[in-house]
Amino acid sequence: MGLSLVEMSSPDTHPPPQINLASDLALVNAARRDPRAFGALYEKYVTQVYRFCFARLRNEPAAQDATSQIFLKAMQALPQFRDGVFAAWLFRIAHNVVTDVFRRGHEHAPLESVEHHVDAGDSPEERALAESERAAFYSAMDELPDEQRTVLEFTLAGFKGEEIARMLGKTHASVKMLRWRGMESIKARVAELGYLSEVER
Amino acid sequence: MSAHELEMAELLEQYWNERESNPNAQPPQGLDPEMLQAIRKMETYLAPAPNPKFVASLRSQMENAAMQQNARAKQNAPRRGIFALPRWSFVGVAAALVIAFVAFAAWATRPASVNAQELLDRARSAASDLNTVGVKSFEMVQDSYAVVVDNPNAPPTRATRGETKTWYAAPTRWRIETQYETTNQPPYKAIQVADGAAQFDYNVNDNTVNIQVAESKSFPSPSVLSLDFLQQDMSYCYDPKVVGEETIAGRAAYQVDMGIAKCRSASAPELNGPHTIWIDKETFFVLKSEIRALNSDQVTSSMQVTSIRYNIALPNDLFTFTPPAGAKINDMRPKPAPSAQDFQTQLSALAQKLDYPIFAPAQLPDGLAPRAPQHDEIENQVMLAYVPADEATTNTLPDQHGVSIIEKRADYETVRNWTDGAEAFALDGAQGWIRRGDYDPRVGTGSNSAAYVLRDGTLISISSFSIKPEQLVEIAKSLQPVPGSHAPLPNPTAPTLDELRAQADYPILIPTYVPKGLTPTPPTQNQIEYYRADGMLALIVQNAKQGNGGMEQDPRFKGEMVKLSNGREVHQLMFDPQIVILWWNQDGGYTSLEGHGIARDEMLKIAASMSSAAELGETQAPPAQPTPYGTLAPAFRTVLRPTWLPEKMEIYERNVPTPNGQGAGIEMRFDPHPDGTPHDMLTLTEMPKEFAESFNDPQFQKKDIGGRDVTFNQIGKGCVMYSWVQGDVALTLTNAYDPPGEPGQVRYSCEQMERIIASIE
Repeated sequence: MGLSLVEMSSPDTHPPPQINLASDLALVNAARRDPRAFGALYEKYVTQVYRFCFARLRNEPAAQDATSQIFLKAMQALPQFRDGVFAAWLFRIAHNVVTDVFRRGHEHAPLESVEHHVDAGDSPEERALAESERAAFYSAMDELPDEQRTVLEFTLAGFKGEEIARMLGKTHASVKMLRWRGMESIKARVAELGYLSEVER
Repeated sequence: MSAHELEMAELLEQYWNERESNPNAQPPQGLDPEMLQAIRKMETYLAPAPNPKFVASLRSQMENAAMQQNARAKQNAPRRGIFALPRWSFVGVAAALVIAFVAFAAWATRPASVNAQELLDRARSAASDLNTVGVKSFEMVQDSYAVVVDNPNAPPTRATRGETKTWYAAPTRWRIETQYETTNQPPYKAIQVADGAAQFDYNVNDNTVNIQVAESKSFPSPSVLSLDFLQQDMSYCYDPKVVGEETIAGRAAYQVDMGIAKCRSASAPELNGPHTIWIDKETFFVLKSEIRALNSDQVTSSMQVTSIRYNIALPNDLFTFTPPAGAKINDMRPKPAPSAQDFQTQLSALAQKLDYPIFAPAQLPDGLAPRAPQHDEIENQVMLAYVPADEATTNTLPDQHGVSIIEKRADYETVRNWTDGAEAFALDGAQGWIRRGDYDPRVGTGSNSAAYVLRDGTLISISSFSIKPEQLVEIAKSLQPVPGSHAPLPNPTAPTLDELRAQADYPILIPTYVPKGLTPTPPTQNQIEYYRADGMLALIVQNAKQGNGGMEQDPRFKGEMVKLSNGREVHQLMFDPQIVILWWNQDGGYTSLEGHGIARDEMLKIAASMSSAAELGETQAPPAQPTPYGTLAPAFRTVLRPTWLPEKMEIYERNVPTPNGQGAGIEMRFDPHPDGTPHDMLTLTEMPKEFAESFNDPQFQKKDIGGRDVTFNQIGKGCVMYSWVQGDVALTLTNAYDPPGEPGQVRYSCEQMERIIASIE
């Protein structure tokens, strides 16, 4: 499944060790007393949140915009956070914000607005090829079943398998399998289009 | 699943885990090169690192937003969890804008040529540190204006206007007075003063003052709307051009046309229009900023400095602050450690001014000393800290090495939130709960433990990362009323459904039919859970205002439309035969049902029975959830453990969810070297045998180990995972990939793994 509202907001009493819940709860408590202490939580999760947003929105300004909203909302809503997995709660907000962006008609960035991802020294042909390859990966990702795509999005954001399992309410083994199958599909799709022709060995 | 898939899935897991800590980690042997190439391209295209400038800029915005948070919270309607989070308020944006431009300053040399990019480069490079560019002091007044956009698809209906005055004296003293008004909202006013040692944040609206140790930085950071942010975006979002010169606030300024933002903002479309800024020709201050609507000439956001003076003498009293009489003060500065007698005196004095009784422990672990008791007047909660002597005069977090106690007037929602899933324990004249943490000092991860007490109308949390839960219970049992404390108050009770319905502006639907044997929990604003007699969760009912439901906002949760017997069409999602979710909108509300182990037909029947007038009947508090790495909760059977291990190990046990989401599983981890760094461990998981995984692939090997029919896989020479059923238990033993940095290498030999299995009983 994707992100079940219930799972993401339910209290957690058995977090996996990989989620640094001790620090999180301590930081959350500190931030409740003084919102400025939220900075430590921000530092810890900003890269993961940004990558999660980017994987969905595929547009740097939009991902930055969403990241800003997510942290500001999280800081505002911190008093409502129940003791549990802070990361799960934060990514529930992230999920809602990104969904909201889509709901408002966000479209993936047109090619001209993502030029900055391409090395400026590349020739026009190389740039075109890179953009075409990027589009193939985006398309392959979009075609995945929701569960596989969600697991891959969290993986790309930087979460470990066990953390993803906890956040999605799945077993670790099932997350590993979803991730593998998702990657297999993507690999097959982009290989079919000729984007994996020069295999690194 | 095939053995190949399992093996590859394991290698992928290993690869990504190592990449997270070491971006240059070598791929494990056996990982398909094409897969590796695909992963790397995926990471490039779908998970780039954020721009460091953006991260720094947002950090600054967060700092500014933190200053405003209390005021905004008071101005917004009460929120009910993340369901009803308010949209990003433009009031906040306006405030951030005001502060941003106040904060921004530069004092650099005049550029040799008037190039917009160079102007902005010079300004930005100087803005990060006023001292280095020679600004010793200044006084500035700014006006700001912004439209408030509630609906990006509709014209703005509100506006915010504000004025900010700023005084700065190097190196560390400053004062900011902010006031603004938003249509249909009360005016907002705040004063922030840094006197060089302490920082005072005074919210005039609710008469509260936060005091903290002043930051070493000389000046509040610019926010996301500062020039720093524009600069970061500029290289690809704007085409800045110098289009003229004007005089602003008596200062000669360049007028820079930033053009229309090529990178459109999703959350603030009103900021996407043509943007013009005016930059002081000598100081590179941004003296004016104006954004207009995309499709009209309407100004959507503006800021203008109306008065500015540099390097002037400023009176000292600008940089002192005395909280007004009657203000609520939250002084977060560390206090000197009191003597035992002083502590009692301070505590009694505090107790006498509170409107609820407070308690102090008569028994504490040896070596802990109290800090001065603190009262957070804003939250009206008491904070007691008992810490090692060398931490008594610091403001480190007390529960890291000691005990943190928080006491507040109890309300039902807070009691429920704090104690949900915790185990009850007996306590004379009070209610007690214990939540066992799983903090692991070897790796610095896990949760703290806490004992909660509800006594005489006061809710008390006693938490620690380092003190065992049993000791926290003893501390809880030793709580004594503080002399001079308020008289006992009644403990809060659950609100009735009628009360909740009266408060909500959407229907709260309740099933009039549920399968036999399910008991509901007392309702909260959004949720009611139903449990089976064995304590297993069976059904979750959620209600919210239409538009705020989690699934209705996500097109991926649209699911399949099915028709109920009453004719209503609902969205159906079946993620797993065990979990069925139905959701729909009805009469301005959003309702979802999530069934665990309830057949689809039964779920449809429940959905058809939902009523906004039904009564709930008898309720029961939610059962305690299994707690980690402590005493294992009652399980489905006897726990099996190995009697032989290849080396000396520390063993950690905890309950884990079974694949259907229940807590009946068990996980054991075996750690041979608790050296404080993260590392993989030998892991044994135990589930009810109905959750045994089948391995039908011929590549999976089978072997009889001590009379057990074991399936296992081997990668290279390493035996990775063993799975078998023993009695009514499905067991999985996974080898440790340890130490990190040697991908593909497991810690224990196949022979050692088999000997472990043979010893499990």
